[in-house]
Amino acid sequence: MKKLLLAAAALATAVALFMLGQPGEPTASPAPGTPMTPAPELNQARNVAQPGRAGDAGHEFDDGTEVVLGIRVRKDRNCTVELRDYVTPDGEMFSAYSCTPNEPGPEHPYAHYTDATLETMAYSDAEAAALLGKRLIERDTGRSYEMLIRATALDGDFGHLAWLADQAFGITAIDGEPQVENLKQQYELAAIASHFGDISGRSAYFRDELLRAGLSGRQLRALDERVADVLRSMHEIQVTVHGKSTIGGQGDA
Amino acid sequence: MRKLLSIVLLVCAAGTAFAIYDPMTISCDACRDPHDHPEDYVNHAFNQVYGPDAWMSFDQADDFFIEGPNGQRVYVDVDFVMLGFGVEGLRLPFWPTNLLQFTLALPDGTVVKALRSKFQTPLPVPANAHASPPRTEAPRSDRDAGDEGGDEGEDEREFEPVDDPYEIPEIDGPVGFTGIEDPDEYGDFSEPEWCEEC
Repeated sequence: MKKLLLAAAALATAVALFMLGQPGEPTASPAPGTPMTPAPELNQARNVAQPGRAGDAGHEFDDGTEVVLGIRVRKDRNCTVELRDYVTPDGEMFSAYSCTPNEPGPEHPYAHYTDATLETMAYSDAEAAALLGKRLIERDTGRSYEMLIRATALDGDFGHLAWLADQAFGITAIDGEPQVENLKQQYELAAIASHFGDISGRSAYFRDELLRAGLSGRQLRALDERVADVLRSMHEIQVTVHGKSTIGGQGDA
Repeated sequence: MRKLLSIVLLVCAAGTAFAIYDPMTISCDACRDPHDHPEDYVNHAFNQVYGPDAWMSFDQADDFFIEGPNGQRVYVDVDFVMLGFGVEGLRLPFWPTNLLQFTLALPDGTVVKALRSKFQTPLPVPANAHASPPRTEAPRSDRDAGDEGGDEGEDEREFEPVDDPYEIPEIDGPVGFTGIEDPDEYGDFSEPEWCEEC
């Protein structure tokens, strides 16, 4: 009986090892820093599928997806799914999917304006302020913050703040270590956004995260004061440009 | 004996499940080195799920690999962030935060967590922002109060009045003066007296 069990165990292990060695997708990851080249001998046309092309789409599902090139993708996509094959310098080959947009996205109407022009327009134009804020985020984070805050004050769209939070303070933990400064900024921006109609629980979430990271109640109150200060400056912007303010739902002129 | 058989079957089932489980790999030609710019991979992953260039189903987007141009492979796990409540570690989600948490496993083993909200798409790749900008770069008007000024890490900051860059500067008084001089009866003006020393 013991021999039978040992044989069964060996058989199970062999089956598992055999199946582990048969993945359908990439089998090897090349060493970092080694540029890869597409495999020239492969027929790329075979690995391209556009939406609506006969023969490309496989089974369609009720949830708005279909099977293309062996994977389930959205039917309403505006791109061409491709399965590219790569060859590493070591001769290993692997495949990776991508979806190339069918047409480039529309250019922002202010894209050709200089920063100086946008800055002038940003006095009362939220789009100009937002575009300038996004342009400056790498060169001058502080000025970018000002512009995106101004854009939010002018048009009330808290998406500007969400963009800033994502792009400048998005990383919240590295190897399990919370990035407290980024969490603080995220909390402040989420708290400001809540005054512009953001009903998601983002500020509460970041408050919990900060408490979990060890911040005291006093430190949180300091952040709240900072939020109130930024809101006051946004109130001033609204009153100066529009003649009235909507912060807090008050139409005070 | 039955326990032994159960263990054998469990090992076999686990091995089979692990072999069948095979997250897809997508390529990102615009991404940079993941150790220096993990935000590129976060933005690229986000764009596959939300925005005008989205094409992956939510099932596909649960976890996958991104292959950078230099063959550096990054594992991406995507989760919705929910606000929860509970006691003693038991947390029940009850309110959406409209945030997605991306957990990246970089080639060197570093695990990076990043958040993205669903409000604005598409996100730029390569990302045009620092991953963690120093807080000393705070905005001039709204945030120039100095960070971490308190002792022992206390976040005590003082705020100066908001300096609106568009505010019209106040003028204390006239710097010079101008006057109106009437012409004489012939319509001529008197010769101005120039200050030679000036």
